[in-house]
Amino acid sequence: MALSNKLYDAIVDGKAPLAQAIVQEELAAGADPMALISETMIPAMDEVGKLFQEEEYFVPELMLAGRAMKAAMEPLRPLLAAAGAKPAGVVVAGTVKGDLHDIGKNLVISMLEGASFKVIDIGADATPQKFVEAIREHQPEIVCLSALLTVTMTAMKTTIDAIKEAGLRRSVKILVGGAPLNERYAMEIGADGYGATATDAVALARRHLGLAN
Amino acid sequence: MALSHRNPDRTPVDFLAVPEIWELLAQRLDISSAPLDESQFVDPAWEELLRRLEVDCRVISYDQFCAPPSSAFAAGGRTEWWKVQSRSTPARMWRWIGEDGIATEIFGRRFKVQTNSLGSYEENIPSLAAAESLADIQAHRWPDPNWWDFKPVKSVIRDMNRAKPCHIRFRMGAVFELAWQLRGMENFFTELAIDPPIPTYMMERITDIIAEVTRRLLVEAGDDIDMVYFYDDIGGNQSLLISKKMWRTFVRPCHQKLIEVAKRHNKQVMYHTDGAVRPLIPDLIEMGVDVLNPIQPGAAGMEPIGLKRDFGGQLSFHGGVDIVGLLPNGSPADVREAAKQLVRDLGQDGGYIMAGSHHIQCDTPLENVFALYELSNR
Repeated sequence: MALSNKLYDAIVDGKAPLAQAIVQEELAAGADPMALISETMIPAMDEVGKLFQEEEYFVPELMLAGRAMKAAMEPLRPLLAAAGAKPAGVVVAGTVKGDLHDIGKNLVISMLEGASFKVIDIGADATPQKFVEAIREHQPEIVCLSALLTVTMTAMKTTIDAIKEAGLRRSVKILVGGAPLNERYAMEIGADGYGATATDAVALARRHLGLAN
Repeated sequence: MALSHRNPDRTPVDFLAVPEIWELLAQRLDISSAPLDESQFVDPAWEELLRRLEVDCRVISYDQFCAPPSSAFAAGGRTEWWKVQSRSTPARMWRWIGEDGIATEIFGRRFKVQTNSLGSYEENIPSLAAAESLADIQAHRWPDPNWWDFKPVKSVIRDMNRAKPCHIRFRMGAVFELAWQLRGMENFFTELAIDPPIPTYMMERITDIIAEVTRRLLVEAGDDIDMVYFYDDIGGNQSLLISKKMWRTFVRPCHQKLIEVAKRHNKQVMYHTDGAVRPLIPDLIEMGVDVLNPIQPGAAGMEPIGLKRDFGGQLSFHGGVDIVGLLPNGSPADVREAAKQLVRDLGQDGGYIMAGSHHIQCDTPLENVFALYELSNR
């Protein structure tokens, strides 16, 4: 079996040490890091997302695949940096003020990184000001807001308003997610998109950056 | 009567809410409360509120009758029974508050209290996330069933039934949820998939403790109790959290043990799980679950009409009223209409206890609470 197929399977099967070992083997054989990522690794994560949507994969499988992807990326990161390779996009992600829940946010980050986005995680209970500062510092294309409570959902609007006031609204696409949210609420508060699942986040991020899905 | 699928003259109702809502309601209805102490088991002001709203159900809970020795927890702390943000019924709830303000509960779960614009909640801190081996997990201070004293239960229940007989259920606790909250979700879920000894040990240990504690409670006061219930979220909004196969391997046997304790004492069993759990319902019925809670509105596959049609002959339902969208945002008329619709959809031939789909949250207008509990909805 071609090494690239083995790598694809290792990621889909959530086998982190194996995935990393295959990447090292590939690099030793002269493989191009960018090609590995775009032709094998990202499609593997897309497959994981599909299996989740089809209810064949659940949260444990998603987590394991995320770990395998991360492990596979480790040997590649220094090479990508050296070659000046760009991520698919830059994302700032956080859970809004008053809310400490972060599992959903972490799953989204894991899926986005698996799709080759660079994600800056500003953590939970993040004030509108913290989001604004992170946007100024990292200049992301995408900002992801997470909340699990109906009570803290309102902090999403406050955060979006703060981004507007800082004159930064037009420079970012704002995506929101979390159990109590829905499409209508997302539009009401002025977000650009709403995702019901972590895998939706990747599709939305790509769509908003005009990338193929 | 509702739970034996005979048509009651009105649908019974239950009430669970966050402390902020209880306090606001008590204020609105002029129910004064005196300071509470550790000799009491039930907040009389909140109990009075249930009487005023004509709520039929009462809960007694495992963490209401357990006082772990102070040696079991960090020195320099104190017991707190009342000012606990996870309380959703008049029952007191045991916490150990450390000098650093971090709260611990009976099994050793820790909490940070997080405040937002309307209230606060207890956020989980995984106490066993740093454990590196099964031996570390085994060395954790697991609760001793001897920490529990159920002698006061009969008199607590007598008080609850004083004005009129209520439906009394015993809250047993959680297994899967408690285990991953202790271990950390990412650790626990990945271990479950590729290295299960730690998650398996934790869930079996917790199950054994809960089973023994419940057995002792039923021996002491079983005659006065109608039902037991345990809670264990196994679904997200769209699908199960873990596959049915994984659930059948790891979780079902633990839940089966708990149900067996109840059945040996001829008690009905209610099971709480949020989320899209329709794929598990046939198994739950087979296991002996009598009542399913909360029938989360909007969760995939959990539409009331479909559930009643497919499972109503074998299962009763508790919950159903949307606390996420409808109760905070709807009008009182919307709330009344939704309540009546649920009673029509789920309550034919009995088999339904109306309640919120979770604890009524602090962004819910009191008018909507009153609208929900109007007698004409039932």
